[in-house]
Amino acid sequence: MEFLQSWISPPRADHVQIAKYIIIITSLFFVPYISVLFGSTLFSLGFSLRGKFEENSLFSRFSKDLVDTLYGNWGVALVLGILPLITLTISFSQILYGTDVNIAQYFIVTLFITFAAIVLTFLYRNSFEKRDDAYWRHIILGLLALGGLKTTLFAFASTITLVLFPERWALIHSIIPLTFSWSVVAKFSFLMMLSLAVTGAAILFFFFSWGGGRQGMDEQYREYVKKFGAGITLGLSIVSMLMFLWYLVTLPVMAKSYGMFLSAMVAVFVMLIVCIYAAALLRDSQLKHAGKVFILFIVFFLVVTVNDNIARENSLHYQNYKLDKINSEIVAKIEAESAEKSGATASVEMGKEIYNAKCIACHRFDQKLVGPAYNDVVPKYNGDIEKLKQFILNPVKVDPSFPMTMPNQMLKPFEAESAAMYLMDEVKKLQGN
Amino acid sequence: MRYAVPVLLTGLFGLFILAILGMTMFWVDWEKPDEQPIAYPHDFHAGKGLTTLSNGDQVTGLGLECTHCHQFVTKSKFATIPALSICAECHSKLDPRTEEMKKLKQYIDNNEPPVWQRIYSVPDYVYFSHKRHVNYFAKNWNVQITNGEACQKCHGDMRVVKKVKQMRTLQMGFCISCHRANNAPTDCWTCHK
Repeated sequence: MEFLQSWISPPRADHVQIAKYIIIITSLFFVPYISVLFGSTLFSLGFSLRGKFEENSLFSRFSKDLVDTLYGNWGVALVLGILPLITLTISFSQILYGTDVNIAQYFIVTLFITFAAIVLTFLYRNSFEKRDDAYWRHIILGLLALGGLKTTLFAFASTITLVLFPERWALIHSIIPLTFSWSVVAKFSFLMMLSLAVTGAAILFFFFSWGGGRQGMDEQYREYVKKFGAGITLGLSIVSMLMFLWYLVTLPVMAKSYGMFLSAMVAVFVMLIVCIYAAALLRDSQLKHAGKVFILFIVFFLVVTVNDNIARENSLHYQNYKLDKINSEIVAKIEAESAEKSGATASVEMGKEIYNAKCIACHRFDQKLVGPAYNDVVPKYNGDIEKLKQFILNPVKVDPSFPMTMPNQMLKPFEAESAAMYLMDEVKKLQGN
Repeated sequence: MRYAVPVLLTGLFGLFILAILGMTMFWVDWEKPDEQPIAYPHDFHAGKGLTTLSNGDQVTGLGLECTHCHQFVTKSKFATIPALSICAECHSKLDPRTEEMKKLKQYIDNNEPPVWQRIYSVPDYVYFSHKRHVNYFAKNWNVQITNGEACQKCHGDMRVVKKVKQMRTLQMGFCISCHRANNAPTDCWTCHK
């Protein structure tokens, strides 16, 4: 899939910055959505089985209500599941421009898996109509959807973790990178537990808060759903924090910084607030905190995404330097083209400015510094401005007694000519004196 | 009783935050290098093309060969840091334009070498020879040593770097992967002599 790389043009500094913000925002759409999809499918499947074998209509009803309430429609799947991955593909390709990792390929693979998983979840939802007649078909579809979503989470965890390990970019050739890395296992475990925890919060929000709450729930059912949602949120939030700590331990040294650890502590603090509200919901009969739990979970996702971003920026320390250099070259090229079009001409005055800005660091007229004295070398050109201009544009080592070749000053042709004119003019004046 | 659960939760999450603080302290003590005595810009010295100095001046890189400073990389197991005399070749004659150049001038005037902080190091029980690796890369990968192409595998492209940072974990898996890919020996005594 190298052709995908060729579609990405060399990025300007502002494009790179926008790409980084887009990664944060689109991750904030994608990760909670897939997490809730996974969690609701798992719980729905579990309750469907439990309802069948215990012959309990409450569980069977809850199983259906979970997918009806939390899945959303195809529009939601497109906006929160598919489009963010396409956006992430392009944004990551921008920030990893010029590297030997084909990140677009891994995101495309994740996109196909996600699409298949979403199709399976909707087939699973549709299978509720004929659940009683074709029960095992219903279960198999649920298991396939669950498997697809689990693979999506793994592929996503694997792809974004790969970015933290520049040393592995040249070594990875499999479709899903870093399959056997502890960092990926830890990240995947964290995402799995978080998925279940945020599903609990989503149950509380969408069943009791969003649009006035779900209608037609009797007291027993209401109480069960509330306790289940709050209990899952509380228990699995604590477990997910353990996974989060494990993930932090597995991070490579280049990803670490004060900012990374500080944002991790903020994430843990936000999760503490979530758990306190979830515990209050378990204890109290009121539902006033139902909406707050889910909103706080979105805040938690934001902080974790920022934490991921900081770790990524740390790992891409050298890549960011490379992108800065590319940006400087693009800017210089645009300025050169602009100067050519404006018909700038060489002059002694311009040459003097260039001498004072660039040449004076290593050259003087009357003494040898890092470079030779101009009074010694300029007369050798016998007044040939063009020859001196060509040397300035393409310097070569002439005298081996000097420590280095004169570095190319990246002057435009009319600037080199100006410098040559000034040097010859000034040497002539000094020698005349 | 009403506040028992919130207090318990606060205590538990407090432990989690303490664990992160512990990780931070471990990183500070064992992994994070101290600041360098001078903010030496590799991109200006080794790179070519436009770059920005610490005082904001936009200049073009010198394009120095890596071996100009790291002189023993092809002859020794250590790449070595340049002696102060290498820096003084140019900097004893230049007017210091930036604060960092002023610091260097002071070191030169006092004939006192800066105490550079080591960024890359392997444990004592690991034997690593720069000479063997760099000469192998140059011969078998068709890369140059002088312009740093042979160094990029482990150190990244130093020609664009302002601040050096450890960019490879240097864990055993990193070494073994490359040894396997290049049919180099992977038996224990190759590296654990």
